[in-house]
Amino acid sequence: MPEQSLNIPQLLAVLLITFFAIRWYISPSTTTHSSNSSARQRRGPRPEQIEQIAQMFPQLDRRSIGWDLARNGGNVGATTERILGRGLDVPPLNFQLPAVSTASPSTSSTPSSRHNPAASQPKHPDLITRYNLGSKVNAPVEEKEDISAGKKPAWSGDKAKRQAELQKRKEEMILKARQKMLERVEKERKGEGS
Amino acid sequence: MSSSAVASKRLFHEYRTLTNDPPEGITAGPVNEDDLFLWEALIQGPEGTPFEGGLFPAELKFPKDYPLAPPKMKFTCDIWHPNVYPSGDVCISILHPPGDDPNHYEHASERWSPIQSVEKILISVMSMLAEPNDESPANVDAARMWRERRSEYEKIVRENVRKGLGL
Amino acid sequence: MDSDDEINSVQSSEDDFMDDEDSLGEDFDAVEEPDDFGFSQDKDIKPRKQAYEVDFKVWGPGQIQDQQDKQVEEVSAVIGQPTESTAILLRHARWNKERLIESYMDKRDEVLESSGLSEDKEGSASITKADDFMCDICCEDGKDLDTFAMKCGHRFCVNCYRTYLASKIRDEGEAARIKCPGEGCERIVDSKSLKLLVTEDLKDRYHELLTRTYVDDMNNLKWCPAPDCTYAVECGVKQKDLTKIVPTVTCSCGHHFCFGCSLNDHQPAPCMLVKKWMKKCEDDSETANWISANTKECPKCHSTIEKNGGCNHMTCRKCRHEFCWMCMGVWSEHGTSWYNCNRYEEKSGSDARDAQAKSRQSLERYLHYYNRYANHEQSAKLDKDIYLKTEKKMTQLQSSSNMSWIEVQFLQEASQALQQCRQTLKWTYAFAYYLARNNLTEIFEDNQKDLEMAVENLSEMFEKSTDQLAGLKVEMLDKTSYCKRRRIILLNDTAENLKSGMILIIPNS
Repeated sequence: MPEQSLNIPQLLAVLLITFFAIRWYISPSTTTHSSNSSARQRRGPRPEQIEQIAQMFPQLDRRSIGWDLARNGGNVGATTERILGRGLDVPPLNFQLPAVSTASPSTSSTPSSRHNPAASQPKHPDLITRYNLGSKVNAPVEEKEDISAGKKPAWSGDKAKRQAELQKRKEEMILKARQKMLERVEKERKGEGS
Repeated sequence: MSSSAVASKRLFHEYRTLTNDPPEGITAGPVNEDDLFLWEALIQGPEGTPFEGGLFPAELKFPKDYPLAPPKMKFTCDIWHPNVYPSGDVCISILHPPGDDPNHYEHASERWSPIQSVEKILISVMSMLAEPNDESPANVDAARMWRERRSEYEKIVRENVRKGLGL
Repeated sequence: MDSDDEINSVQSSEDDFMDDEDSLGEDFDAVEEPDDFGFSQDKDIKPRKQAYEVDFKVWGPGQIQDQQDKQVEEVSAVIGQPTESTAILLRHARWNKERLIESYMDKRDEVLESSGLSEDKEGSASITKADDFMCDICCEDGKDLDTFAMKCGHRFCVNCYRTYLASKIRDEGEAARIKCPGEGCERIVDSKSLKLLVTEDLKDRYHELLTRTYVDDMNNLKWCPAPDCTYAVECGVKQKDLTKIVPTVTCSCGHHFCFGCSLNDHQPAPCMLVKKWMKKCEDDSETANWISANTKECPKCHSTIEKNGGCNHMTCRKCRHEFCWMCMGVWSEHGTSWYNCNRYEEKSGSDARDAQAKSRQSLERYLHYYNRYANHEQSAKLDKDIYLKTEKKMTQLQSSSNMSWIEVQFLQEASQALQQCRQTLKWTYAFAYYLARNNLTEIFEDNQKDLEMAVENLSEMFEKSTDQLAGLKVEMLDKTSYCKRRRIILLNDTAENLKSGMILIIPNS
């Protein structure tokens, strides 16, 4: 089904925009008036208009609002009516929001990317960095033996020793977990390869 | 004995118990013994869950009237879970003082009482990782994903687990 | 006693549970009547009860305590338990004494156990020193440490026990049902133990809370919700009758409130509609009004769905119906076109869009009623402001027109009537929103219109300048009493129709 991702109005709109774009490239120095109007078409809706509608209908995608505004020449009233009426159309994939609001993360075609900010941009440094274990990472086998040997943790009467012991336990725990995870990743990779 | 002295004493006692007899997969203690009211804990992801193999650092802040009031717990790593706020704050019944549940989702018996302990909190949090509570999500997006797109949820969790270990 | 007869007539259809409450009420009356100065005065003045009025009685703090003590004594004599234990048993049984006595006679040990009073004669609770003990709360140990445990054996040091109880009483406002601090222990700290442990400064608070729980537990008693008011109101209207009766009561402090939901007087609308309406107003305020026209409903089960992701593939949380957000059609008709809808003209979609148009219509209907509702609320506030200004006017009027203070009271009366009628009008609009149309609704709307016109007339006069007001006195007095009459007619009519089930409520608006 090759045409299923574009319906007729969208197709028309794409053609329209392409047409304007081409016209703009071909005749960059026509009269002041026409260059102004083509510039407006190219720029699309003003960010504050999109903002205004987005505040009224927070559940709507900014891109769809922008797309509708772009098509009716920035008529906020008409867009509102349409939202209340049959709802907005899905903008074509190549439609871009005006520069200011492209920063907003809403891109309707990739829902997962806006759902998992946690996965896409870690806020916290990993444990190796945090515990400064970069140097110890490369001696994993030794660490492993260490853990099985010094199994029984003991309470020390000395404050400094306790502190150091706790630190050591945490580091061992991290390195062990990393080691295990590394093995698992390795296994998975082999599994995929075969 | 002032309340903060009671708290210190009790925290010190709990620290000793946790050191001598640590529960499987948990290491916890004060960040610095000069201040017994701030702890750091490392919790292993429970086996058989997407958190398996992961190690999750969290910070526990105790109030001066501990153990009458519960501590606050906050993960200091990226964790994608219905009951953990995006800020890392953990939302679990054992950390709520009784009589403090506007939604009445929880029974009073599940909530904090002075007889609970750091160990019980950490064990509860561990089992929370395995079994999210869908009723009162702290992270709505994660809750919805957990409910509707489980495989996507698990993928994110696994990704975070690896990143957390620097892999 | 004429008041009880009326209560009986209202609740003639009640079950046996009701009967014990009635007999209870009689007991109080018999004893309390002599010191009951002026609480039931209203009944003496009004010769006949209006259809929209309910019987009620106001109790002062001392009387509440007396009632409580008297019941404890009575039950204590019957079951042969000391008053402390009886008090716990009664609180545990939520003051249903017949049920308590009955179950106590049947299965005494079970009742005692469940309320935390198991029969263990040896070693009644006391503060002791224990060997080889460490308090699980503060980790304190030592032979000299004072410790306490109830019969459940969860022993803690007295300090921790005290702090625990203090925080329960002071911070959480618990009294009658504080549990043992031991983990998972359900034993309730009995009043003897509390006496032993609660520090002097908290005793008053503790007793106050116990009294409060008494009123909270009684189905026929409610605290007056006015700030700092210490009275409670007794009324026999039951929770399940609230769909048919709107029990507005008036506390001795002057506050009118609904006995059913403790909100301000909301006649003629029944409690559940008020609740629905307030929730609706909260949800639909300002921009939400517009949003609600757009948040779509699940085409299958009609629960509201808000889209907050980009994907058009919606799964209703409630009924798991899968549909396309764009065209509202069934998702399975979409093939593999996941994030774009190109099925705009499918039948299932156009039907669903018709439904959207309907939802917009219903929004407009809501706004019609809401605007009128809000208008009366706002006007009542303005009328009040005007009245405050009028107080000044009244003083001026006295000096300018030889009228005495008593003679200018007509203004205050007018102001009060305005407030009251607007309060009623306001709720008639919320009520009307939920009414199914039939000829009774028309009568209701006629009544509403009459009252509204009278109120607006009076309100207009009320705003006239001081020199004009003197000349309007007779007319205003007439209008005031006309307004009041119209209000009573409206309320009576509605109350009667509501009671007889003639008024139909739209089930799902």
